[in-house]
Amino acid sequence: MQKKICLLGGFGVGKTSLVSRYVHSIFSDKYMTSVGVKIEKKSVHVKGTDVDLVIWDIYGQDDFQKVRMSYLRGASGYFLVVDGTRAATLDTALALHDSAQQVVPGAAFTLLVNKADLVSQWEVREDVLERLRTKGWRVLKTSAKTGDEVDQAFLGLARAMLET
Amino acid sequence: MAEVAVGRDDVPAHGEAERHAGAPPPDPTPDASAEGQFAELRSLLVGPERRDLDALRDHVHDGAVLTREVSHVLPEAFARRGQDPLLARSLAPMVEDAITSSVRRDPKPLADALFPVMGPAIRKAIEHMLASMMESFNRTVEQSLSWRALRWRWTAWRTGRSFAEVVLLNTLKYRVEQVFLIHGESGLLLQHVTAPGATGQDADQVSAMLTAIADFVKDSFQVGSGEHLDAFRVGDLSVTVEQGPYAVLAGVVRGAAPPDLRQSFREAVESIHLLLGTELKDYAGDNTPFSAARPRLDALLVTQLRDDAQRVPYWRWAIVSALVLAGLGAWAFLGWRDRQRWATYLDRLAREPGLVVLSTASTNGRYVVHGLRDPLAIEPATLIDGSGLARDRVEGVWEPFEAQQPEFVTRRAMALLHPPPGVSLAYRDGVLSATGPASDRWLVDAERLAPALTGVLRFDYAGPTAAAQISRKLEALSILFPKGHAEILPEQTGTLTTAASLLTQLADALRIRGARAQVEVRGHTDSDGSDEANGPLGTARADAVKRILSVPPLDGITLVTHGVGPAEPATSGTTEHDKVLNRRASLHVSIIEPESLH
Repeated sequence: MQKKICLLGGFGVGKTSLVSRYVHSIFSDKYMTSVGVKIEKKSVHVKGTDVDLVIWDIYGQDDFQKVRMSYLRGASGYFLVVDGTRAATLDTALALHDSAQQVVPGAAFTLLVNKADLVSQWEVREDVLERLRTKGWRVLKTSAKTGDEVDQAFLGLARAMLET
Repeated sequence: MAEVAVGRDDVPAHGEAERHAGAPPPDPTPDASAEGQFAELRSLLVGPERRDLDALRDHVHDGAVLTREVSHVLPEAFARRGQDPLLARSLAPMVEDAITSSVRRDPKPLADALFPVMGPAIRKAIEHMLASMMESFNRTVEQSLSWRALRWRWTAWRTGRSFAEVVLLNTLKYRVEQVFLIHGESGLLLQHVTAPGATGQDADQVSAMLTAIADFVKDSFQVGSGEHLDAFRVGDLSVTVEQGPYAVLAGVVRGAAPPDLRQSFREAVESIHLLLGTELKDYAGDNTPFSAARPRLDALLVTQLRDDAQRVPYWRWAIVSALVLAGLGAWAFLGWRDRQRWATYLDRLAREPGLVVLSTASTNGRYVVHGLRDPLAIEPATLIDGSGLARDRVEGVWEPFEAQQPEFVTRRAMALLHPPPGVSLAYRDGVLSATGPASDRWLVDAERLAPALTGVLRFDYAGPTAAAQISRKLEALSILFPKGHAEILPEQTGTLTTAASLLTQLADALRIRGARAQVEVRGHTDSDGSDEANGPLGTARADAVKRILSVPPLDGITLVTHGVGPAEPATSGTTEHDKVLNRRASLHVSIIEPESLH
């Protein structure tokens, strides 16, 4: 079984560094800025099934309108990545989410609030996240530095995709 | 069945009726009567249905009927559920067990059934293998004999690639190295095939990236809807992309792809959509159905060599063939020559006395000969030299033995017996014969030793013995006397001394052999005078000689005298000179051999 997933998020939220230790890629980071996407791959095992995740790491811009949403076509799920220390990135993520749902309606997704290791400097407020959780969002606090919750994020998204 | 059911059903009904018609029940309580009436009512109301019900129940419980009926519906049921994977899954273990047990019991029926399928499949596989072997052989032969090939070898060495790969890259017109079947929307890879020897990166990621690039191009350059990226090129590598409604076919081509290649891709996309349209449309990540598209993708992996590379250079073939033929010829000739030389050597060994070849062998150009060799025979290795073979290619294992040929027996006899000068030995049929003047001492030794030699049964001496020779010398002597007298003249002393010496030698020779001799001294006269006078004169002359020769006496020799008068003249002439020669004494030896002494 294989699934396409996307990584979405504003500029500098640390998407690539968040996953780089957990994925395999034959391409260099140059592709991000040139073609606007970098392909990565990760295999997970959920619900007795081996799932090969083909990850489209989409180049993030704070001006989300410039993000090539066509890269989302055919995706079964996506991560929205936010920099916990910059509240604006959450707004970008929410806007990206709206756009994404237009391209792949009903696709599974998870909000990853990055830089959990710098939680004292966070601008993203906990009550905002809580509100999103009550709306049924999966919200995880991750850290590219420590790797907290990254594997769980992949497993959770894969499980959600198999359920939909 | 139905009749039985009816009968049984009727029995209680009749029973009830008889009970009511005949004697009334002994204790007809109102309850019992009501029950009976109810039963009768029930029988009237639902009797036929009950009978049907019973018939159905029996029908259902009858195994034979059930089997027959199921057998009618089973084929149809299978046909209807034929597409259901559950049916196939549940039948699979049984089919496997059935095949296994059939093969265990007797593999032949299954083998017979599969034969028409296996034969062509195996043939095809072998043909394919032979064809690719021939192709690679042809190419190697074509390419190995040119300056270009040397240059390619240099390139291969420099770049660390295999020579075959370099040759292929240089003689290639084009080759489809990889074909990707990609899900159009998600860019997920559905199937991927690679030409033998071609290499590629992680196909899943390449597939996604290809899709991304196609999207990128489409978004970036504002192309019309329905238009797609359909090719791109880097150096001599190009990617041909053929878009279908749900899937994309991308081929990685090395070299210059011809226009009709796109047509092949077009047809492949169409046929894949025809075959797997539903699966493509409803794709949710399961790639299993798309293995059905594999043969179509494999068919796209085409390799086309350049025309000049394909042309067979006949002169090269001719040279190669000539070299091969020359090589074979030389090999055959050298082999033949070796065999001739070996035969020559064996022939020489066979003809050489004192050598017996027991067995021969030749392995890997080396020869081994086992045999027997008389130590007096020629060294076998010296015979190799004239045969043309190298000495180190021949190993001889020789056991010693004593040859029975006359020359070997004779040579062994010579070595053992050391015959004196003038005596020669000869061997024939078990008899060793000596000829020539042999001393009696040597003859005695020779007679004793000769039978110890292999092959010698008897020793034979054909020449005169020493005693006989001395006897002849003695018998040749004449002691001359003056006319009418029997005195020994002084000038006869030398002859007598000789005679005495010969007698001593004779005694020695006789003693060695244990023989004896009688020496008769005969006194002779000339023809003059009367017999009455000549008779005593002869005897007197013999006695005079005997007197001298008997001192000293000799063992084994007896001297006797005999006057013969003129009866045995030395010469028959009548001249005065003849008469001088006839006035004499002579010696006559008779040898008595040991066996005759007893």
